[in-house]
Amino acid sequence: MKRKMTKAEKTEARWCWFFIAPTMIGLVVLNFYPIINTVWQSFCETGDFGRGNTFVGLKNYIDVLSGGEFWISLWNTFKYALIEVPFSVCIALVLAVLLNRKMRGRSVYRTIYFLPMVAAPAAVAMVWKWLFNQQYGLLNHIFGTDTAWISDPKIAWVSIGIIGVWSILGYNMVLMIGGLQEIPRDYYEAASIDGATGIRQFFYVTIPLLSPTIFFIVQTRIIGALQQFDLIYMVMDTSNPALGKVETVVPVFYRYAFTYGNKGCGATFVILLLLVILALTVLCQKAEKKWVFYN
Amino acid sequence: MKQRAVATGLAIAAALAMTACGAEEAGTGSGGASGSADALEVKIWDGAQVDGLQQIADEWTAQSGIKVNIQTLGWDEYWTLLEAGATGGDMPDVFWMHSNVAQKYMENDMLLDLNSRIEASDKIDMTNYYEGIAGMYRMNDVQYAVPKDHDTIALCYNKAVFDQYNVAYPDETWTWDDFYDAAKAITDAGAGNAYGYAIDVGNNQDGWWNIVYDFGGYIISEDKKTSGMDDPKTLEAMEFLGKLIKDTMPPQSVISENGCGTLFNSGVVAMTTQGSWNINTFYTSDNSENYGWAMLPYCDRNGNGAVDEGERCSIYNGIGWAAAANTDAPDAAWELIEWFCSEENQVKQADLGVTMAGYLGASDSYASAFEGMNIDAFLDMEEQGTLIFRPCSKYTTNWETMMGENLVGAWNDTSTMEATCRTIAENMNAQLAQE
Amino acid sequence: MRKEKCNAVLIHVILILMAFVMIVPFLWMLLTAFKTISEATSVNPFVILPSSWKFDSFKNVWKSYNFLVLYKNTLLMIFFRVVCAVLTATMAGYAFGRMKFPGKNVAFALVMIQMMVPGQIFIIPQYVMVSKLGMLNKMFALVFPGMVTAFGTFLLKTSFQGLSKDMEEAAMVDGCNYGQRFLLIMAPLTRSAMISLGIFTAVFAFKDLMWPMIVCSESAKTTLSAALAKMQGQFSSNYPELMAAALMACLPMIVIYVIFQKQFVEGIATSGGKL
Repeated sequence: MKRKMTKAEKTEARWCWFFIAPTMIGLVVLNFYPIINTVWQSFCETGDFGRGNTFVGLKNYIDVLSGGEFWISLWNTFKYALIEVPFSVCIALVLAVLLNRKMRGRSVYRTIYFLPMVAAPAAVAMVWKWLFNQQYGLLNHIFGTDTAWISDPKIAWVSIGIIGVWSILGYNMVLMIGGLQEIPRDYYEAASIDGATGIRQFFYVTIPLLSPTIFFIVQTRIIGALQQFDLIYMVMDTSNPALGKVETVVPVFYRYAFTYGNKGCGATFVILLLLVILALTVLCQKAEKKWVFYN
Repeated sequence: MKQRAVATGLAIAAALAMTACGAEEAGTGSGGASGSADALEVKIWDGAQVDGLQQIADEWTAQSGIKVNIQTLGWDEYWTLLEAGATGGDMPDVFWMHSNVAQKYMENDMLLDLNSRIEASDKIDMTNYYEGIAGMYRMNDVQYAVPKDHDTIALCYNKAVFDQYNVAYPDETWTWDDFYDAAKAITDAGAGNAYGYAIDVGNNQDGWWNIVYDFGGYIISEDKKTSGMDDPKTLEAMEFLGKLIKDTMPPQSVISENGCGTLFNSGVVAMTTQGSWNINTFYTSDNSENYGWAMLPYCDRNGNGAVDEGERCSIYNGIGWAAAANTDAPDAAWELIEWFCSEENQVKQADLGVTMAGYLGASDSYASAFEGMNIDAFLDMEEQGTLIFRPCSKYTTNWETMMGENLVGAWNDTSTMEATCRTIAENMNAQLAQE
Repeated sequence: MRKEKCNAVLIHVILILMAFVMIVPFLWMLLTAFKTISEATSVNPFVILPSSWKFDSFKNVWKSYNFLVLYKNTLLMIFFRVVCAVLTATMAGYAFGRMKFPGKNVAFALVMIQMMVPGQIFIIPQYVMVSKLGMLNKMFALVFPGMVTAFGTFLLKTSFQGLSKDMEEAAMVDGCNYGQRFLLIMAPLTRSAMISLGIFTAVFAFKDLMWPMIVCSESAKTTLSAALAKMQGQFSSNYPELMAAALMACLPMIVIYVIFQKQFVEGIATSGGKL
């Protein structure tokens, strides 16, 4: 069934390759070579300093999947995502709707909510660690408690989730405002005529019409949350008693690959995480077809 | 047409730039450490030492004409980077080596063989250095690094807190039981505002390992094949440690979040055990006039009321100056190492208050480097106590990390101490079997 | 009328409360930076406001870390990354969005996969490349991983797809080839997407932590974000200085953001809305 290309098609193809060449070459060198390298490593017992890798087949996969650490870290990853994604999306949605009108101080609010996005991650980690500090922290002082916010295995995951929500809230909100502004005003007018006000408009007009944006945010935030690294790496010290209940997959990979120098197992962790992300993305796409409203 | 030419030109340039990168990357690469003979790249992990060392290095530059560029990294980044550098064939010319990983680097020929150069040198004779440290950086009779320093551990106490709760200051007669009593008295009277002592799971060399050896236990066997964590003596020491944790320390979460130094400096904790590399932190603290140093307590195992060999231990360690095996300037790198480790500059290093020396008998002036603070305890520990070299094996970091992770549980619930130690021993034996 | 006013007040109350929560960490950073260590770690009594507004911590940090150089490095890195990313992504986006060629789906699938892989796995191989090129501790090293962008390609592709056919067809009739069409007609129309990508790239380049820390370990060659992370490792207990450093590291981006906040917000909003 292979058809010869016409001359015009050939010209077009040549131009195309020329246009995509920088990006594709860059991606191959910067990203695909490392990915393939990692996949290969996951089948190897890696030697010191990347030497003497020996192929061991699925041994790393069997070790990782039969050991508890992967499942615990995966569970921790989901726990983090379960806090960060719904809360940051819902609060952002409410804020976006409240801000999507002519009102005094609108841009001031928007500026403040977005502020965490432009803060360096190390700064965010430092200040939250300081706020959450059991001995000297502001939070325990204000509430008169003696809670180990980030060191109590029972609640540390919530505290980390709070930092996550705080960090990403403004970003989600700005995306929502973008989506809200594309909803034609007629819909609201029509809804008003039908007698729908406030809350009802929110549920019957705003949410359905905003669903593509909401869906996009949820999807990208799930992927982002599953790849969480900076926050946990910076906030949770190695002697933190809650580490085991909070440490997500990527920091565990980092520990294996860099602290233990066990690149093979580290690679296996990442590849497994990648498979989980791929599966979730496919699920999301399916869900999108079913629930999201496109006009 | 002109625009087309410009557009095409631009895009081709971009594409070329990219392919050029790709092509060069694909090439074999010359390897070799950076830094030609007119400059050496030096990496260390302790920011507190960089000024003094740079000063010593600058004197070398004045006579050799080779610039020395010392860079500091945090501990974790240092090892990540060194490992990545070793993997990619680009290490600093001269750098610090640590007992935790020395064996791994030596076995893989990452470090410059110094034998012939030491033989030819009139400044370096390996018998002049602490044998535990020198031996650490030797493998199959090849010397890969020269000791830069050594350290001891002592007890720092806050007189203000002791006065407030009316407890006598620590002195050289203290046994660990006396230590416990004093620490408990302060903790009880402090009622949540003050505690006697604090160490975290990671404070091994400057904390609980000393107690283990004082009690006659050990961490790793001489042949580095078995763990000592389930040795009865070790378990006894760990049970005692459990008592300390339970009765004299703040919650582990507090220790972990702040570190012992901060807790001590803010007056929350009355005593802390610290390594000699850390003196400056306390010397420069706001409340340093309240601080005193004493030797570590001992454990009177035979009950004769006197300190015998092995009853007052100080786990010691020493950094080694090493060079990259593939450095472009091996001679210059060696000369710098020779300079740092010569008797003259070892004395100078102590003089400047950088650290104690790796050279035997060159550390006396260290005590006077901190004007107004008496740190004789660190030197006394060495003269009157027993120095034990820091437990290590080929992959020390792996079992040390595992140990810390497991002990967090025992720190939070001291009744699990014995079980935890046995688990650690089991894991550690399994890890050692694979080395 | 009365009910509406009530609502407006209620909305403002909610918004102000939320704003307060969002800003407390920054305020606490500021207050701590002005305290002495003893004040910062005093529990009994707890100190909220520093006893005097001294700039000692700022001065110390400024002195021990060469902040001017850090600002310069960060700015240059952001500049180069933005230029590279926008250039390569616009070209590729045009091809993916508006042209047909064999292998397009495969190529685009590769772009999508890149976005799902945790970035940490690229670090070591990329580090080895940079070190083999002899480019460690150089500006090139900082820019290297940001030269191309899968996300940007995706964003620009969507943007090109959204343009109407008329203009391009008119250009085709005029005899323009693809290069001219792209450069003179189509690319300018995606200006807003380019700005979005530029802002997006700038923000994330600024926040990049691990890469600059590893590849530019010299404190005179690294970026604000990495230098700050290093400080936390080194001086974990001097809270006032840490907070002063954190503030100083965030300040330039905050100032830029406040000045260009309209562009920021619109840039981010369009990048999301269009996807």
